[in-house]
Amino acid sequence: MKKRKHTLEIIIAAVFLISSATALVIHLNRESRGVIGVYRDGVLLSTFTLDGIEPLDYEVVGENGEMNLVHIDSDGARMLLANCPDKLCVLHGKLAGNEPIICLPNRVVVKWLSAAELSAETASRTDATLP
Amino acid sequence: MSRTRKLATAALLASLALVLHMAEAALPPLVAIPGIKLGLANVVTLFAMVTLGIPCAAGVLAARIFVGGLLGGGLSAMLYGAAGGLASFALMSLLCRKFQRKRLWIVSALCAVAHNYGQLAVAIAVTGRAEIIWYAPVLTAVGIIAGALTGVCATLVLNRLEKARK
Ligand SMILES: [Zn+2]
Repeated sequence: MKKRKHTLEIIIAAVFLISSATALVIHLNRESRGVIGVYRDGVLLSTFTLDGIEPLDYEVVGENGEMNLVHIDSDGARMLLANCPDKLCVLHGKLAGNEPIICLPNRVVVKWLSAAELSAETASRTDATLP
Repeated sequence: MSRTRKLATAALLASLALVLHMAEAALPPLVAIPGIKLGLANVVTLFAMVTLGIPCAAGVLAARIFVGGLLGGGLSAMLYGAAGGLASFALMSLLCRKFQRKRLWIVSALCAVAHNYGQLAVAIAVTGRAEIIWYAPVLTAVGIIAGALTGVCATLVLNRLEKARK
């Protein structure tokens, strides 16, 4: 009986360790770098290939006056300015690891494009330029 | 406890929860990830559920989310707060009576994780980006720690109050 009592504690501790380790792996994973995508309401607004890019500020404007200014240079991206109430997107700093920069109030996401997303994006662009 | 006394206590707890909520929001965030915070107001929800029962605790929680949203954070904060609050509260009302007081931290840790998952689900729905799921592990780990801490707080408060009443 005494043994059974602590099963839940052990499970919780195990889940804590596993999720911490996973979070670390996600953060340190540097796969699929090179192209950054900016999304609003789940729609891809623009992509930026970092190789040889000139530093630029990209402004995302929403219908209700939402504003996010994304700074992009050859090193990556960060949210320079935002008019959301929590400013967590600005505090996020540089786009590191796999975790996207998220502005929840303004529904803006800045992330690395995966290889699959990249090829889908290139395909749709080629389709559009076909005669 | 008489009905009037219960109502007065619930109202008092609601304002206490609101003060904790606002105080925490005024502090600089520990990490710049949406949804990561201590959740001090959760101590009050747990306390209310143990001492006043489920309906009163629901009132305390709803008042905190609604008024908290009005005072700062706005509609989006209210939406996320409600999603997290609902998930966490459902689990809490199921588990609360099944655990002894000194093991309340387990209930609290599980509820905090449920709270974070509720918010994560709304975040994915609102932004339409599934890769927000990358945040699930860190939200799980932080939820367990923050929930355990607030659960221990609730246990301490309950013990102190019992001693004071004697
Ligand atoms: Zn933001």
